[in-house]
Amino acid sequence: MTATVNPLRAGIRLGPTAEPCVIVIFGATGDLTRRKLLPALYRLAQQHLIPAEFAVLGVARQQMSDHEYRAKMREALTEFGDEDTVDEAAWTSFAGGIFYIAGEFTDTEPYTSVRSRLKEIDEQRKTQGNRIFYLATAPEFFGLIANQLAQANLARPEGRAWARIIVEKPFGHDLESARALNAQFAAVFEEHQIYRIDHYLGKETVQNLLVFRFANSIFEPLWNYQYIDHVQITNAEAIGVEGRGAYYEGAGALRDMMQNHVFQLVSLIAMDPPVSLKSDDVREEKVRALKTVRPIPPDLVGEYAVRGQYGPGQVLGQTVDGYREEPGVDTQSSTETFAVLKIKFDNWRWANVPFYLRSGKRLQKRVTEIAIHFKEVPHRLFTDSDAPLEPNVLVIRIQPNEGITLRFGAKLPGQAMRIRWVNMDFRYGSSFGVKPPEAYERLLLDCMLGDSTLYARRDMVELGWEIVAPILDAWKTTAFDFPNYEAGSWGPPIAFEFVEREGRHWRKL
Amino acid sequence: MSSIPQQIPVPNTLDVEAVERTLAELWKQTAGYNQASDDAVLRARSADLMVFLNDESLLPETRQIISELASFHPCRALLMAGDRNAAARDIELHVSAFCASQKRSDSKNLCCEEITLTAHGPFVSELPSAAVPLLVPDLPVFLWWRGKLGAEERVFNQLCLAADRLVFDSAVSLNPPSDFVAVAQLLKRRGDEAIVLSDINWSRLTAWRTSLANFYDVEDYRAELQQITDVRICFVSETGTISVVSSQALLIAGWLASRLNWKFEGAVAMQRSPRGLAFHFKNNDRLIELSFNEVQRPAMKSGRLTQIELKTSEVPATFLVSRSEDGLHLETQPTIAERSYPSRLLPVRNQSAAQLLSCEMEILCNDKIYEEAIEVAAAMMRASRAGPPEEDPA
Repeated sequence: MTATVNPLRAGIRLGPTAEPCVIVIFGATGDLTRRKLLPALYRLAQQHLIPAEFAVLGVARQQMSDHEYRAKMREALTEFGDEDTVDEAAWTSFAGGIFYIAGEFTDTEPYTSVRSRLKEIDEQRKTQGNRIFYLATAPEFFGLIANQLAQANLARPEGRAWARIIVEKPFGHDLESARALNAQFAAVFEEHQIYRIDHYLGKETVQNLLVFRFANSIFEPLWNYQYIDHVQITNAEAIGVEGRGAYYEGAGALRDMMQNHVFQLVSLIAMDPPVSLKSDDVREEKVRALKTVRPIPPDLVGEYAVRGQYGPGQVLGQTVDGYREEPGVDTQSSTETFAVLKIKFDNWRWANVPFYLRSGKRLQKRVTEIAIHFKEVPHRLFTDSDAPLEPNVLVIRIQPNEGITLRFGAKLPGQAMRIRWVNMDFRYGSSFGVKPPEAYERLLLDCMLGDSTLYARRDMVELGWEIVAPILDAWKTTAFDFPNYEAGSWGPPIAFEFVEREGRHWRKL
Repeated sequence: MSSIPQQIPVPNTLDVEAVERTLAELWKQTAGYNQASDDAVLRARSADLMVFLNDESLLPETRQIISELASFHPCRALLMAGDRNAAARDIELHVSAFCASQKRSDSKNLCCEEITLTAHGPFVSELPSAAVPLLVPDLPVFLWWRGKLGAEERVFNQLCLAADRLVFDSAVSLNPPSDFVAVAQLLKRRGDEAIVLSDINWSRLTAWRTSLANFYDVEDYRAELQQITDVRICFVSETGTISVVSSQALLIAGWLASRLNWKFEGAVAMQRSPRGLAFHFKNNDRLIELSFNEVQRPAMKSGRLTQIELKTSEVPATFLVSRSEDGLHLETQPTIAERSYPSRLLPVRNQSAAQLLSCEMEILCNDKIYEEAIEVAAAMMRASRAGPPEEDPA
């Protein structure tokens, strides 16, 4: 009788290795495949994390042979991978498992070809009927490809084989379209087969949030309304729309970043401890937290959210155009490039603790961080000190310089009682010199291993849209005064007024 | 990598405060030195690392390894060099700081501190009592034993008591080489004397173990594990004569046998053949012959593995992992019923001593799989020492 587990696998410190499988990439010549997917798969192979039997089947419009596609992917590796680490003999061995099919996603024919090609690959490479379908295409093809895969009998594998589908963001354009897309996928795939990727969750520091919160006993007792005054989450980018003006026009900061990436951070901060680290236990707690977000009344959107759009300015020493001057952008565009959102939770842990979220493009610098602002001491004892008493702040930096900082007061040496605010700093780069894996490496491997913890579940995606729906509706109809912030600033003045009217201030970053 | 090769002597060797004061002074100087280059200094410590050398000439090389290690595991390093045979000289103590550039995170220089204690003659025994109080409290403590196992037993035991994990290299620390019997004895220690052991040589085998394990992630191949009848392990030898099995070869054999529940048949099962040394194992009623073969590879270090071949007789199937002639790649090749299936060629880089040490410093718990492999390797060594079975005169 064949053992169900591989006895030689136990105790190998590299971590779990994927089963043999084929990854079918729709959009195989696109930017995402070239920049992220192929380099990540190659690196995983070099680390022995995917087996020799692994194969890639690319599907895209452009006509070319397997050989030409391999050459194209080799170029991509030079352009976007770490060329120093590319070993030509190893690449040739890896490339032997790369295949290509040309076709229009809207036609039936490519799917029939995919099916027969997969059968051949299974036979040649012992991939055991296991497949991952990666939708690296424009979002309008998502539902269509899922349906076509079902029509070609590819969505439900036979026997012990498995089929999974990875969907890139954006997952829907609003609540209605997200629900429709989810329904479309649910008609052909089981929820456990669907992997909605949010590359933020693949970042090492985001994963460290779980460890930080639930492997340390000192923070959890403070992690509630009794000790925390408010939470600030900042996701600032110095770049503009980088040639994606046409896409961004239909998206905006709220859809592009807030509803997915930032809400993932919110849920990791707000969630209760999961009963285990199993995928569904973790995702269940994240969803439970988001379910308690207080709905934003449609007539009070202005109290919960503000928006902005950048005009020309200087960023990191360079003069840059305003958003409306970017290629592909309407010269009278009403799309927001900056959004601030306040959310409150109707639950015991976070009663009356606002979470201020801000996300924007062309801000002063790139920084993503979560700042937990603790309440002030109940009684001011040090009245003679020349410095005003400040609250303690715990900062979790996601990027760059990943790390954790705790800000607290200390006495300045000397006869006088003077207090200075100092930072206790932990930097990932300093304490662990090992380079963390790229987000896509981690996420692709997780999908091959069948671990969906770091992927968004259907209800999570819909909840995200549900929270922002009143804002999206209101912003469609209310007047705006764009551009309202200079590129290279920290956003429009209303963003500052927004928190200041509640007696709080954005952190200086 | 930049470094500040200052070795500041501390006059009063057993005064912890004097050492700390000297270090504090050194840090001030280091900060000043770096201000000139516009780089801030970041002093970091995530572990204590004690290193024992019974050969003082290894000090410069060890310092180099530690300065490379610092960018993976910033630590306070306590280097102890003791030459028992030299003329008596009391403990001398020097402190230094060194900085590793952080290319990855930011421009800050990551700086660590190193305390070197040297002693000669009978004073070697006093090294632990001088070094252990200098450990930074509440950090994991690693002892990297760069001497022969079994030498300086009192010093070894005292340092082991202070350490959370002992790191050694079975490729260099065993006398005679492959003396896994001694390692197995260490692993049997219990209670306060229990040792959590790490073997740098085990890390060198990770790529081999992974390549072999990868075969059997394919369900179709997994059944073949129960059908293996022949195992051939080849390793580099300078002489080309089978005198001593390399520690890597024994470790991988021990690992295979323990993972696959093969029962070693004892000394009776050992055979010497013209092509090498062979041992017999049993899995249920099936006999498995495991042979070691020496090969000559000028490009590779003596003792390193070159090939592992697992064969089954029924189908028949061969699972082969081999290292290329130039030593730069590992290739895997399964062949079932004379048909070859996808092979994989992967680069293998000889990891530096610091990288290997770093791997061992990532874990603090026992490695059960290693310990099981050691038990089998030790049994094979005992059998090997006993010599081949005598012919039955009947």
